[in-house]
Amino acid sequence: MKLIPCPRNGLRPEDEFVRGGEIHPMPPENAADNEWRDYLFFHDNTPGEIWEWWCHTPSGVWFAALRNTATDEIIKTKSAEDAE
Amino acid sequence: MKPGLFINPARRFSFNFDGRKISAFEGDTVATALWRCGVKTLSRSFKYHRRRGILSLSGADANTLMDIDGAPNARADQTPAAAGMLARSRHCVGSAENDRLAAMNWLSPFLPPGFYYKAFFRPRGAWPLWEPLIRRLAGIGQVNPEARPETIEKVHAFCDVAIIGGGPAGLAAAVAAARAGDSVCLLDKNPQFGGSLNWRGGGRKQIAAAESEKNIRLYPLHEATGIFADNLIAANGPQHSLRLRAKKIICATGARDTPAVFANNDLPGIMLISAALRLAFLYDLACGRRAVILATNAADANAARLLKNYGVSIAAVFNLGEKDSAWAESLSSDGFTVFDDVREFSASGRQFVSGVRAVCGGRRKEIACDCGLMNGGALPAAELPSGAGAAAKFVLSAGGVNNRPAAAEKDGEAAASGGARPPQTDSPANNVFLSGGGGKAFVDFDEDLVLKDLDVAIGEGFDDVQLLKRYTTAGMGPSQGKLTNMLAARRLAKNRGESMEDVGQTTFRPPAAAETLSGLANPPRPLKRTALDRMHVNLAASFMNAGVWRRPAHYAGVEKESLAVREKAGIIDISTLGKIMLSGPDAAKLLEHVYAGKFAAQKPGAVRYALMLDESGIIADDGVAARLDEDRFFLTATTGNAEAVYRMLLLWKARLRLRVDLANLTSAYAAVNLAGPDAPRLLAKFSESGAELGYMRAAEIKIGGAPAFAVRTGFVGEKGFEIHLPSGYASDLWNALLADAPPFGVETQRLLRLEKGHIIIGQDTDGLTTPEEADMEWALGRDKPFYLGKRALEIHKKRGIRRQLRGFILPAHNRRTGESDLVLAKDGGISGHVTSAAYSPALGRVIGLAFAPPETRKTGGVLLMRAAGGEVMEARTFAPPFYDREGKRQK
Repeated sequence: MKLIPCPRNGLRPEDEFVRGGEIHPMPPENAADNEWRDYLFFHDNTPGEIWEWWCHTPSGVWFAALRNTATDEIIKTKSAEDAE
Repeated sequence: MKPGLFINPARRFSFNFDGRKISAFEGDTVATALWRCGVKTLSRSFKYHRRRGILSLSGADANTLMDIDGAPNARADQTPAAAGMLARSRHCVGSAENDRLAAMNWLSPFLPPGFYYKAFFRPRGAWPLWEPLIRRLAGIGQVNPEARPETIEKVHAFCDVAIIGGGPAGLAAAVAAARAGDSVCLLDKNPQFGGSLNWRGGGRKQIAAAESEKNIRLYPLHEATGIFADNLIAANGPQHSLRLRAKKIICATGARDTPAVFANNDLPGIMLISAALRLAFLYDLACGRRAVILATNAADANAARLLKNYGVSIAAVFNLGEKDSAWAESLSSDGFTVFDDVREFSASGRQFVSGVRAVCGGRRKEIACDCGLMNGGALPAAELPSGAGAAAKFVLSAGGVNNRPAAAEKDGEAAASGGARPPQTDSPANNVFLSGGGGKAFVDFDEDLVLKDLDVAIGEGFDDVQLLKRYTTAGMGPSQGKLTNMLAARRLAKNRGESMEDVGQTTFRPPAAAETLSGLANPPRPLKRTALDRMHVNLAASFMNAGVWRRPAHYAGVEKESLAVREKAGIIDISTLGKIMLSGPDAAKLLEHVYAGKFAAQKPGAVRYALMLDESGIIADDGVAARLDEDRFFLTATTGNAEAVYRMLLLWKARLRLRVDLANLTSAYAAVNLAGPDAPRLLAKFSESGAELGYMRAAEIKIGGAPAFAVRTGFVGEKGFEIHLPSGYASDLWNALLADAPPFGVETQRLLRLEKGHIIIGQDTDGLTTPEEADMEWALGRDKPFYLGKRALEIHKKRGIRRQLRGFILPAHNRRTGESDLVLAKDGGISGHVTSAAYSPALGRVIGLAFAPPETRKTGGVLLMRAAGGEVMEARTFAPPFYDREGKRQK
């Protein structure tokens, strides 16, 4: 069980968090079907640093975390409002 | 050092081993009690059914595995003996003493490494035929199907510095860290702290210091099994499992003696030198009367002296280390018989070691003995740091740590102040592989691997340390190579003429000691109970699990309850619904974004159905949104998705930077649905304004002085008032309504809503159901520029659908309801399945919902359905609602 740094609550155990998946910019509504398909289903999944959504569930705080999926290290975080 | 530190001979009791009564002292382990009673064969070996006895006496070998009180594969040298225990040896037919499979030993020429692969895997498919027989011969303990389920509690602890191992280094580290102001947790698997100080001797003042230090919490009888992310230690304690989080971890786990490899090195009576010391000084037991010692270093020499003083006569010491080393010379001058330059060595004995033969410096020696003590070099017990991913560099420490408590203390103090250092390197035995004497020379005792097996495998080309391990299974037995991994690596290095660094080593992985499944499993979580739970108990409800909640399935039977609701009124506890309050100028904007329906133009006081899709257009949840005023919505979500819906709203609120405040009232508010023709009259007693609400209208009302929300819906098809109110007021309302409106349960509600054709998310939909499949496109907001899943639905639309929900009715004579029955296509293949079905007392028929091919007519079509038993029924499709088709009753 890891410890995860919540930008508002500090280091908290992993089981207080829910992961919200990798942050992808949503294509515009008029983008082609293929582009939407790729956005929804085709993800890179290359080991390395990715930005992900995380939610600290007891406090309901969402934030973005830069996590290295190869080493499972969280490198930095920023608030959800500033994520995109 | 006083012998017998762990035992109390004043208190005795007995237990049973293989049908024999064994008497023990308090503090004995099962293995030491057996030794005390002269039982030296603890088990039979895995493959050859050879006798096996005490080897490490520290839980590092599999010789001591037996079934103890129904626990399979318990380590007898780590399990405290207790009165009335029932212990059974394993790997044998009969008992360890009289094993009817002992002849396996003579079959060994036919069992080379890779034998199973070579012999039983061809032709293809042969293995399943052989497997049961081989498994029976190999015997891996017996699972007791009647074992009681046990719950192992998890205990969580936190500290600045956690130290694993309470020997001289660990104690010194603990005291140093505590005095520097850190909070310290000190773990040791033994009942008393001191580690090797207790059986090799050394100053005991650190033990007293650690025990009196306020900043140190002591955890005796806690065996660490792994170190995980962010410094989490898992340890097995007595009756619980410890999860210890530390800012810093010091592994002070010391070193182990390792076996020397020579013919018959597995005979009972041959053990590690440290095991003999443990027997004497922890349990006051002699390893034998006359011992032969294979020694490698100064610590071993010291052990010879300690054992001699204890009363074991030392027949000879064979020096496997440097010739003419100082410790060997000093032993000689103390009167010990010491032999250098050991060329050949073997042990003999029928059931027990009775002598050794050796060739030393060209001279033949033959010495009678009743125990053989060996150490091929001390190996750091590094499985915890190695398993945690610490740089696994080849290190072979020859007793440096164990032999010099003062040096160990220095190490410990250095670690406490930040200067941790890796285990020390020292010269191991020059030649731990001793030939001669005919007979098996074991490298891995767990897996019955002999030296020849390794040589054959290396010769066959499995000459990488990883390949060698997997092909021969060296180090893959229950003790995970704690004693023997290094022997395999050393043999490989020797045969290849390379250094140990070049050969490398395999990685330890947690758990470092066996875990029970109950130690890993979380204790069952209690079900959540609503504020009205006590009322349901008083009403003798029959309960069911609904997600994380305990809910009444029914009270007086589904049929009776459903008729009461249809004819007069009934109440149901719907407190488990998600209840979310959205307040702020952007509340409608948030709903418009996340939900498929339209909310911007919704009038205050109006209620709208709310359908949530995920981004790929799949139905995610539903509920109703009541607009209380311009800036406030009261939103419900399904029982199972309440938390996820709240989180989803929080996320989009943040991403869109909306000015809206979200409050999750799910637990703070209880809710009661009062439904039936009499419902308005009954509610009027509490709230006139509530009772006057029209269909799909909502209002803030007062119930018993408490602020409440009344939402007028028709989920069960009658006039229904969902009354959401602070939990503390719910039981008064419930009890007051009870006189005129009997309670109904979840099963009854499922029937009532089915009669109306209302779907339940998760029951009538699955992880791939689109609104079109659920025939619910009416719930999508037309002309909305955006909502989650909208763009994906356009793509779905182009692809078309392959199934759609259909209502169906079974013929009158059929009262069998089969949720998950299959819908058959004309050719007999499967074209769908039943999602909901129930007997409707109002219709006198079984009705239901099923996925069927979209071309099936909505009403009047034929559905062939196959029940689990194979029976095929013919159902007629019927577009819901089944009951009150005009929807007059609910309005």
